[in-house]
Amino acid sequence: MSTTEKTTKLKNIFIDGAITPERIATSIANHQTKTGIGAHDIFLGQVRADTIGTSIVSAIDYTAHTEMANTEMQKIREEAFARFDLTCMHVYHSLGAVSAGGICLFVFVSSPHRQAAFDACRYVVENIKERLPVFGKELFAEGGHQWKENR
Amino acid sequence: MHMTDTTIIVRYFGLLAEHTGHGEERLQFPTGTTVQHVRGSLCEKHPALRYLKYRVAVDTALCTDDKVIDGCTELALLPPFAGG
Repeated sequence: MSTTEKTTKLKNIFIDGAITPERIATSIANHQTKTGIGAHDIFLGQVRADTIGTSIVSAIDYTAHTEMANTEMQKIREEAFARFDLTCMHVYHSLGAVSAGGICLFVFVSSPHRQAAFDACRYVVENIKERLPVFGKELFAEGGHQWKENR
Repeated sequence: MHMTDTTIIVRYFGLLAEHTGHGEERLQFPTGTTVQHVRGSLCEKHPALRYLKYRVAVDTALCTDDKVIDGCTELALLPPFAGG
């Protein structure tokens, strides 16, 4: 990562509600001018309609310690740029309710070659799940809820 | 209030906000107070904290029980993460 990028203010990764396919498509289109890139890797997290006992998850309501999450994400970003030959990287995470089937996490990494893109994408996703203070309340279709916990 | 007391905002997230009935509270502690002491004090106010799993972050950095909160502004109680 260049010095100028490092000094920019903290990026906010959070957006309200589900991440739309249109946002993802636009993000891909925005990279067509960056012709040094030869490989993109994308991870999309989707809300799963888990069955818990007799209840079915209809949505996850996300909350977060946003300042801490954005600070931690900046560290993960810097680690990824130091470890892998990346051209750019974009991360979005939902806040608020996302219905089952909706996209709640969008990680988009780009590199001249595929290996760095694959490796960086996995690194970033695993670290997001482990390190970002994001909380998920799984809402059941028939009422009630439980709190999600990453494994 | 003693001149050197620390006023800290305690923030509860997710399941902890639900169990304590608070999003945040402003509390005062004497100089030299550790995170461990704050946790003990919070358990007296909110007994549910005794059996709930959480980590503590002071001013957005995870910390251990021996951290002294002097000069800090925020102490966050974070239940298990569920991002992604």
